[in-house]
Amino acid sequence: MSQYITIDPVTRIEGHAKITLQLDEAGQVEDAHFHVTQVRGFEKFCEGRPFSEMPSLMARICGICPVSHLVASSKACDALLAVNIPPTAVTLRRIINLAQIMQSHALSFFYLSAPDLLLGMDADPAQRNIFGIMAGHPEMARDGIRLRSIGQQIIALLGGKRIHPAWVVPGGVSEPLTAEKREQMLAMLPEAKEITLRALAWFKGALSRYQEEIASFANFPSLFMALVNDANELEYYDGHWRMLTSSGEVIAERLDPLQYQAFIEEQVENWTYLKSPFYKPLGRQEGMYRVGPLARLLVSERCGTPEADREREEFLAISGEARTSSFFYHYARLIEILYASERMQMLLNEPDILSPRVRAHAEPNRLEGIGVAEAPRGTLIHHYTIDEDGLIRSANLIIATGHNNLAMNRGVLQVARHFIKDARITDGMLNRMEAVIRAFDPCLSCSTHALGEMPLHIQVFDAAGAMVDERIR
Amino acid sequence: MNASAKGRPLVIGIGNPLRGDDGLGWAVAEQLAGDGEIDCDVLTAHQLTPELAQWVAAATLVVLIDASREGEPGALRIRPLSLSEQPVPLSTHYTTPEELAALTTMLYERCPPFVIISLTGADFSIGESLSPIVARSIPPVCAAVRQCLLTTVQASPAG
Repeated sequence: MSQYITIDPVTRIEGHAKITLQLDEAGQVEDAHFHVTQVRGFEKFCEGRPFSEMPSLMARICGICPVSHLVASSKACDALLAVNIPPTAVTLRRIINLAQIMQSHALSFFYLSAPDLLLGMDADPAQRNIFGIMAGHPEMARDGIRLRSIGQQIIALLGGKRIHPAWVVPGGVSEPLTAEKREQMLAMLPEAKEITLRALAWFKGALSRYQEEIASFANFPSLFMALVNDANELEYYDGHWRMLTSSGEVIAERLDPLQYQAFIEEQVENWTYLKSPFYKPLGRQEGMYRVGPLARLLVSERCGTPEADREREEFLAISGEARTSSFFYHYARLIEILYASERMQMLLNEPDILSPRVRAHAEPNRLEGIGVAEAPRGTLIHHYTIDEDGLIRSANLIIATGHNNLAMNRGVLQVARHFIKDARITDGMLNRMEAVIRAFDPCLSCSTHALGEMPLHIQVFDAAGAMVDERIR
Repeated sequence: MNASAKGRPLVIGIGNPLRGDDGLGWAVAEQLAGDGEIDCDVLTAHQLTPELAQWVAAATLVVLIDASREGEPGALRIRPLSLSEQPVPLSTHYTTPEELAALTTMLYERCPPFVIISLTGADFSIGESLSPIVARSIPPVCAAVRQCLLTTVQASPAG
């Protein structure tokens, strides 16, 4: 008799989703699906709007990573204008994108995943939350709050506000940086670095407690894709894509993001609103790839800043052959925060950073524009076409979480097969099912634009469709 | 606006300035920030979030200004926050004043008194302007904030 287990919703992620597990007659997990259950539809309702509205409009997709959408959207609009934006504007956009990486990763690590990591996967769910962290590990909670706040303050100093700044615009940025703001930002970055190094030291010390999770959290072969620069270092704003196998073999490099349709195909499934992109030349099965912090560290040959490079080398040594386990997304996130601190410091010290020339003005000169950048969760693509009046005819967005969809699904299946031995559910099992998704830090609001709020609801059905077990949290 | 929040009162204007009267908190905060005669830090926020705890912990008093849907439009309420309520698990998107006070105490082992000043709005539909009754109420709301700050200064020991 087959049975289904439903985990609805998955908690402590950005957006709303559920997991269903199909059990065979022996009670073993046969299949698993990660369903994104609601849709928002920005691609559709922006049709007919003036292209110049797109950065501000698209930033509203998400309250966590609006800057990433602002940057990718503005790059697509730069392409519509057919302008090369001033170099200082590029540097300023890079800084705000890195500040976004810092605050978003801090949210993921300290607020959403630290309860699992510090209190344990099997801890009482009533305690396994940010308040549990505050009560048991106030120093870690203070660090998380402070680190996120530093990222947010840098965004606010540059963009005028913490969430949905309108400062990144087609053609550049709307205002140059002032010396006073630069000093304020530079003054905060050493503290960000200190906090991150403390968190890294703690995380490395705790790894031995999570060997089972490392072994089973989406630890399987797949491709990894990220932007890199010409030296194959981390790149978040420009560059080209590089694609690696789990064994480290480079199967594609110098892929032009503007030609993404030549090598990325988006598949639609009837059980989720999240599309499933794959690497077209290898097909759906072999072409599954991962993006985001872990992918970026594996795909690049170096970070490009001294302390992040040291930490990356140590990570590769510690993780060994298990480096492709998605559990290590947490580790990679911390290394990326460190990189962001160092890199922002370098960029803020560039000689022309206070240049008043930060925006190119033009009318639309092309009818199609593509903008690509690395968002906290991975590669982000905005692709627009416009009519002769500059009104949007079509918009296609491929969001980081979408790139990871196939891997997240397979990850849920791997965890379920490892931890569930019959149809009985324990809270620890349930939490691990969510935690493997959480490791990817999916942003479903970004990828499908979900709305609403749901309690945690698990149901077990028999083959005839009758519910045999139910838990509500 | 920058919150240096070192031993000074902190005023936080809460709301969404794109939703009509919900922008009251911001309008009051902006007016107070331009008032050179009061000694306080002023912030604006769409919602209270955990990150505010670090500024709250460093302040001598926290005054929250928010628009309300309860009561007759234009009704002004001033209430000190009761810290006796048990906090519920935090959201990353929204924090209540009670939760903000509780987490500040938990993390920083201190929390200043909170005063919540709310004014009932008349129109929360999409738009950047305040309804006439709420716009007329800005001076009395600012006066209420000044009174709170003055009371705190007078109650504080000299030096």
